[in-house]
Amino acid sequence: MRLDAMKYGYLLLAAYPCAVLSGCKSSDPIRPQRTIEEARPLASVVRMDDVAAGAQLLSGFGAIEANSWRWTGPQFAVALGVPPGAKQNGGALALEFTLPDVSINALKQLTISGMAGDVSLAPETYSTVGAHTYSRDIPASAFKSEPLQVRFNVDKFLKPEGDYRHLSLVVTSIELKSK
Amino acid sequence: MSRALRAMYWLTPIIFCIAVYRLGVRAWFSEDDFAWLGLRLRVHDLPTFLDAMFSPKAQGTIRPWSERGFFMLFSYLFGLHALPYRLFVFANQCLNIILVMLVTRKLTRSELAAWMAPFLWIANISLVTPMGWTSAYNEIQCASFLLISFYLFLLYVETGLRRFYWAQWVTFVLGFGALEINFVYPALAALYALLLARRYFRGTLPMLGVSVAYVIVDRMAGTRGVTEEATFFYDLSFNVRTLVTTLVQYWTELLGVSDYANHHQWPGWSGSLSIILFAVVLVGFVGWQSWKRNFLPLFLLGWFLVVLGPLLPLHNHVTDYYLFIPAIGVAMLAAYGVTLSWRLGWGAVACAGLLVALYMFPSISMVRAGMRILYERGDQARALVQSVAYAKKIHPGKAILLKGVDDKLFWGAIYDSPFRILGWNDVFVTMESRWQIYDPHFTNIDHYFLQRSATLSLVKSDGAIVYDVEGRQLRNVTPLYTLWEQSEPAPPLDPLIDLGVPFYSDQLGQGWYERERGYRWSGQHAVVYLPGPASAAGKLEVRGFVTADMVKSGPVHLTLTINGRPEPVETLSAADADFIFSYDIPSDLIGQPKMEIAVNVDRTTTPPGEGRLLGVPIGMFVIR
Repeated sequence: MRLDAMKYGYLLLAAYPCAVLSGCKSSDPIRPQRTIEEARPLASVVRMDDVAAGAQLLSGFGAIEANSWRWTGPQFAVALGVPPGAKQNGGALALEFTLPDVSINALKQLTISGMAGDVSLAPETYSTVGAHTYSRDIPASAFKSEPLQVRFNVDKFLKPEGDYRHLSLVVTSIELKSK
Repeated sequence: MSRALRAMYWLTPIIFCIAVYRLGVRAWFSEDDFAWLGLRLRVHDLPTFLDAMFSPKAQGTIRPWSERGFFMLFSYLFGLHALPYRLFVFANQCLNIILVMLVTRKLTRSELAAWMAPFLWIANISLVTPMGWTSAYNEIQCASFLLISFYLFLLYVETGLRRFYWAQWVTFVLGFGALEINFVYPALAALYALLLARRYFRGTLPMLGVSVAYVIVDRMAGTRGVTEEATFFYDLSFNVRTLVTTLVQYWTELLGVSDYANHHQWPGWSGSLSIILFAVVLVGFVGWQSWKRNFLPLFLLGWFLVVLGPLLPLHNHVTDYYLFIPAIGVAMLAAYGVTLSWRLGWGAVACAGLLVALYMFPSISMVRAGMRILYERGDQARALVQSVAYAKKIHPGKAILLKGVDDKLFWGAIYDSPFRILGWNDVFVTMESRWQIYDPHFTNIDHYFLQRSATLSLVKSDGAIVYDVEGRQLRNVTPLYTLWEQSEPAPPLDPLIDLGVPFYSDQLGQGWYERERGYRWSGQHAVVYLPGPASAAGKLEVRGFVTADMVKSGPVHLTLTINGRPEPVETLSAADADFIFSYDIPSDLIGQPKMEIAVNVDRTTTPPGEGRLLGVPIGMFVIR
């Protein structure tokens, strides 16, 4: 028998109702996917390229971009694990970030301040393009409980044309070390 | 041709299609798919079924076969298992490929052109969305109706048998159930008749009448209930310059090479030059053949323009997949051109081959990139919805809060409410994600985000589980999130009270009955607390509805006071109707942490067998 185009067409047409009728009504409308219920040990170093560290980013962080950094808004907060010895000796906090051309051109300078637990972090002003580190010593008295919640404030933000977010810093990592 | 060769002849374009779009077979749902999947939940009896199938929706669309019926039937049979939907879409596209081959063969009398045309069409970038996103299936189905109708018309012209003519009528009329653009079919048939079979031209005119009537009805239905923002996207401009600009945009989109050049950061002129080259060659070919009184190329170019023409006035809504059906005309034209090049010698064949390569390779590359994007969008949605399904299973009765949701995930997987399809009305995004999400103000999106005071009340009472979106997985971060929420300054009152969910009880005063499905009944007098507006532009909006029992004995008058000051009285008289009342707020309350809103009705109703004195059912108070 010669299978010509019309027959292929008829076969495909016949396949429609067959495809529908062959499916029995599904009793389970969706196949669940396991969630991770276990808490991840809190890290004292949060790198922005680490998807799993997202749980420690409490507020004000954007999505990961270029697999390496995140924009932040003018207020952002992170929960950090307390490194061994910090409760006795205090710690050192380092916020690694970049100020792109577009930020400095528009904003001229930005001032960062913060709170680590109940302790205020002194402000510092940045006015150059490139990579920077906002570093502060954290006294032992700040480590009353774990995790250490650190809130950062930036006095200015960008609102680029076509973007709807308030953008302050391009952050790459936040690190807490024992002194 | 041997049987095996013949089979290969018909099957190779299908195999090519499956190879190029194979990711589409595994694609999951996203965006509008969820709205269509949820349509079945509104069907309870015949009238609601007919309403779900045929009442005009956004922009007056109806599409009972390709959207409503398709999604309702498949969601009934397969729930949220996407594979059967995708296989059906692919089967339909295979049918289209066969139809393109049949139509091309009939038109060109060339086996080679019939074989080449589907390859050129399949490589086109306009196929990405229909092949990768189930909501765009309407394009595929509509193409089937158009191609079948036109093939029947060609058979009618060839044989003179009236049964083909009437069969064409049937498929033409049925095609309106697939997509509105089906109304161009009479123009296609008329153009063909005018150029190549003039004796049959008059037979196409009655169908034009049907199309005109359809367009009038569709336009009347489409202008109802359209928001101002949506009106912008669907604005029609018949300015010649705008039409030409839009046509150029579509032409650029169609050829893919420009996208490819941009993607690879080639100089801007390289893409533009290719676009101009294709235009010159194709239009030159059409002109040359027309001069030789071969009007088939003119008809094929006309196919592109006739199907695209009605979409050109939509200058703010240039959409890649609108080219899905117009591209068939260009594919057939190019295939025909390549076939004719054989008659002109090897030089012409080489030029044609080069042009085909210049079109095919960038296009396929962009098609594959586009399919990857669509696949990943669906895959993210699948991971989220399936993970929430698991969370709901292991934490029954608890609300689910999603943290770390970005713009892409929100619009791709949350906005169209996949969770409601599964009966979960208590899945929210945490407020921290709000700043990352672009709000185009099509519609209010506040209710997707659980306000801070409601969040705090829930996590403190162990009523919610908080998950962080960690790539394709959800991680339970409830303890950390609870600590954070509790360490934050006490949240202000929420500017929105949804009476249909349990999280706002802190802001309810006296006079409310138990929560029901999406609302609460007030008594004769009921109170809520809201913060003062942030600016003088802020207004209080109250949403509720009127039951038939309430107004059986005449209208009910609703009086609202804000901090004791009365607002204008509203009269509730239309039974079974929703209401939205908007009130000015006294300027001295701007920025105040708390206002008392009191609702009073002049008459209550008592349902038979009940002792409740019911005032008015209210769903929401919100400061806008």
